[in-house]
Amino acid sequence: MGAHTHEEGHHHHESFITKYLFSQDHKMISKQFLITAMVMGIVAVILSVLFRLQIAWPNEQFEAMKFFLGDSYLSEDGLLKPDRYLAIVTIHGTIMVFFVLTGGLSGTFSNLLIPLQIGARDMASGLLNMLSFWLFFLSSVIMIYSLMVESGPASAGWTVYPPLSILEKAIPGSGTGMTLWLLSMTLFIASSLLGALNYIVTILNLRTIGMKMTRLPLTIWAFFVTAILGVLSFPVLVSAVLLLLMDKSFGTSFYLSDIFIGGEALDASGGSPILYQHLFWFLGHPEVYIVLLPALGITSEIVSTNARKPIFGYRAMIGSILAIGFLSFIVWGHHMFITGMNPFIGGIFVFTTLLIAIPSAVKAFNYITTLWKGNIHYTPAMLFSIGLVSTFITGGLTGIILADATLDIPVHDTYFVVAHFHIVMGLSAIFGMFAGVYHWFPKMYGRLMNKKLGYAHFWLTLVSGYGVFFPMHFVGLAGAPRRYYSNTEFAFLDHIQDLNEVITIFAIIGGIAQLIFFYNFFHSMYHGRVTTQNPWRSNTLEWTTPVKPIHGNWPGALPVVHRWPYDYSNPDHEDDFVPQDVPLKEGEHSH
Amino acid sequence: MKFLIVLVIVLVIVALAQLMKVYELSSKLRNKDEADVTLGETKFNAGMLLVFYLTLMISSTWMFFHYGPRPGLEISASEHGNDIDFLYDANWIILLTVFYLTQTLLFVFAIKYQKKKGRKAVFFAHSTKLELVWTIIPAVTLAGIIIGGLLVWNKITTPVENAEVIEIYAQQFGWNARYAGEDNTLGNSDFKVIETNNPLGVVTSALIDTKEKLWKEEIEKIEKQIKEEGELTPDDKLEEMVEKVERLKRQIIRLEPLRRAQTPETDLAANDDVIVKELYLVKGKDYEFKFRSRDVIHSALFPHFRAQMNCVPGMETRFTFKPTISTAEMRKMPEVIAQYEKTNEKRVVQGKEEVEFNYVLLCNKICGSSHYNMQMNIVVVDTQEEFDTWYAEQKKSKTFPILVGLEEPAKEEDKTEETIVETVMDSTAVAQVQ
Ligand code: HEM
Ligand SMILES: [Cu+2]
Ligand SMILES: [Cu+2]
Repeated sequence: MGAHTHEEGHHHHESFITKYLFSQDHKMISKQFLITAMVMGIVAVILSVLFRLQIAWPNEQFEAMKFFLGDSYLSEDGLLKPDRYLAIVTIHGTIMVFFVLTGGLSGTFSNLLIPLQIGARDMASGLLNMLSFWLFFLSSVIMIYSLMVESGPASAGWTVYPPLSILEKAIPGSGTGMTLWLLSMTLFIASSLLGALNYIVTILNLRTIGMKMTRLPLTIWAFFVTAILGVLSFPVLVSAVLLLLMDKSFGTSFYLSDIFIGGEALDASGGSPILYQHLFWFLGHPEVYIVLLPALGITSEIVSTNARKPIFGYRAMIGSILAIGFLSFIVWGHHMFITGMNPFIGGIFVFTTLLIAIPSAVKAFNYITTLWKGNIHYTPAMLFSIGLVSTFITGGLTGIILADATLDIPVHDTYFVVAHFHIVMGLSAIFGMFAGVYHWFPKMYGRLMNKKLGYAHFWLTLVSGYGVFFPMHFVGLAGAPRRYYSNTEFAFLDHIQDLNEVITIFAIIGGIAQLIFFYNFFHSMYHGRVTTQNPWRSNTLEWTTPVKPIHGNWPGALPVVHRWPYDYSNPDHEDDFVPQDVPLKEGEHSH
Repeated sequence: MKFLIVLVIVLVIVALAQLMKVYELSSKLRNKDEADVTLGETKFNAGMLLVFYLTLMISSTWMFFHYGPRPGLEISASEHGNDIDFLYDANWIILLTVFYLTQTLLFVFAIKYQKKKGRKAVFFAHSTKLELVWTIIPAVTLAGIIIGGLLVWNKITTPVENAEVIEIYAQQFGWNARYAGEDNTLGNSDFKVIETNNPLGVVTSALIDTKEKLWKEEIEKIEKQIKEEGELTPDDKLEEMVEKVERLKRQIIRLEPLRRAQTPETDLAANDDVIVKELYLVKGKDYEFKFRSRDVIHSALFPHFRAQMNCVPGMETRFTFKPTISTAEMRKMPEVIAQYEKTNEKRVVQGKEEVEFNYVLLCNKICGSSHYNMQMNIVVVDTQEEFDTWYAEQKKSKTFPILVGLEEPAKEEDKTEETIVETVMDSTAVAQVQ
């Protein structure tokens, strides 16, 4: 087998189209995912800065609104229209959660790292992999296009709760905009499913000799469990979305009942809007871990490499990934404490949700212990990983408040929730993504990203990230609901307006800081220092491939694995790292 | 402005590019390995980590003291709210301890074990004892949190007997409230009979008859029109008319279940209901709120009472609470005085009118363009008498025709039920005609 692919690796002639567009090579597909997600990310960041401007200074005109959104988003007095405010909030959330942190994060790193780290020539199915990307691309285009339709894009929040998301009379965005949203999401889910199936099969079947499940890097474990979560939960979202589409376009009433709108009583009867919420959150909660687990996996790898220490509690880390994966399916009700659910059932969801905090705590402590008595190299990737741990702790702790149904009553759907999930997703998971890019950029482009710019990017992002989302807790505790066009209508909220202004200023700084990253990324792609084969002196297999990426990954036979991936500073060896393909010394025990 | 933005972005990029060039040239000269973290960089980042850690600790502590766990809502105005506040304080103590402890460990280790020449990390891959410790400690802590939480949760969600029933009905973008009247029983209601004069769709047998009659007349009228002018009307118009007839017919059929659900008792229950646009509550009384919505999901948030419940079309939800501080009393609380003094100072500068403290009900579930301005004023009065005066005033208002002529149905013992119903029908019909 080795010889066969060997040949393929060298004599394969490619045109531009098969190389860059319809490539089936996992490394190219990974880069395609990354760049698409980066473009989507820019759009979402711009949208967020715009609606932050609106919240902080609700009565002022901003040229930036006109520049980025155009006149159709503005009312006659030059202010953002209230329903368009909701529209950009919705699209921001959708893009960030699904396109950047699900498609972007898993798509980039699962694709890049699974074959490279398990010692495989490529994904199990290159074709499905390519399809997965193109579906993702198409759905991205549709989502962006929906921003430009006349009646506005979907506006019912990223969770698109019916009936608001179904009734055009309730909000204009629930017309064409919502149809496009549904279409885009359906394609997106198809893409995710193809990707996830491929990852699972590849990890199970294509591991090289010696790569036992218990020798997999934690990145792979995280991608593996993530993919399983995706396969089990996304189909539920498909059904939720399809039923929504039927209600919207074909007159069914799965989610509709007893509605009087626009001066008339609708025919729909017998449906339940709450049914949608159950279906949505049955995906939605696993989804937050689909977002977070890959970031945690990436961090495990980076923390261990740069602390020059084995990751502490390798098996406990695997155990907690599995526990989180399992538990994430039985906690969805914590998003629905206030829907009038039976209090007893609410109590059960309190219990299961708080259980998740245990494996999460284990992970946090294991990261911290990995740093203890290490020899820490502050690469940008390492700094982002430290940032990830810090924000994961902060956000996890507020999760404990929200998981307690009693405490959720006053803060549900306020900015407190917004602060919570942005700290775990908007900071923690995004930091994981940045860390991954800085760390594996050499494997993507054969060059290194500039470190100094990386530092500037990290510090500005960390400070502005905390600056935006930490004060936001207090806005929520003061009772400010999320998705408010402005807080001016309630005098009891006047006193936190200063805080809102501070938040917006940090958001602008944070947004601009990302330019440094983009500049660094594209500049380094062409002009970065050429990397050595194993720049971080890391143990995992991807660093045994040639600097210049080739088809089939390894020019000769596939590497054979002899040890676990975390032999850093092993006292039996002189070097402070021992790659996985180094045979055991005489008398040495594999870990 | 547009130009400025572009200019700034371009300048930043140009500046970056220049910097990079200089940097690259100099590092090439020194032949540095870009992957290696230099001593200078290590020192710089260690320093930054320290500064950041201190800033995080100091500013978070400052914020916790300055804003507190419920800024602007310091005092709970409901009985169960005190339990919630207590639970919050207990949880914050635990969580903040964990926050300070773990962040400190993280940053201290990250700084202390920075890369040093000649240092080799300790090979410490796992320790069952340690791992057990940090599984068991969180588990025990969480058990405490869960038990505390569920005790209060069960207490709050248990219905209170003999509470006064009030219905809160949400619509885009406002609230209606309905008092259940002397019998403390709400009359039936249904979205199909909603109209401007009957915003909650309160149902009486008489109303059903009137509706049916009116709809039948309308059907006749349209059908006649179709017959007479059908050939002259454009197709789409005609289609619309036919559709309308069909819908009306369906609506008439759908009135049937309503009629069947109607009994003399429910008619009476509906007759003494009072619909209001402002909520008056009596201090110290238990209230059972029932929530419904006519269009999309809304959420009734009472921040000062620590209460919230979704209003879902097609479904009834409930929440009980007991107000413990009247509006007048609240206005005399030092915290409230201080807050509103500051608020008004700023409002004057901004040219806005000054405000006084008031309890409010706001919408907390995205519901459309004016979601941000969907409110109802709440007044908590000290005595039942104050309430009664206001209530009598509300009953007199003739906004809701099904009630007209029946302000005090309980007193009209001599009237038979049929006559009551007849009066209702008359007044409804009058309302329909106008
Ligand atoms: C210790 C772990 C965590 C617990 C106990 C927890 C608990 C909760 C609870 C109870 C809510 C519902 C709050 C409400 O709507 O009132 C919530 C919301 C949310 N959480 Fe977490 N969470 C945890 C970690 C995470 C992580 C790791 C992520 C993502 C990476 C996350 C993402 C979210 C999101 C996106 C929402 C809000 C969704 C929305 O309403 O738009 N959470 N969390
Ligand atoms: Cu959740
Ligand atoms: Cu509302």
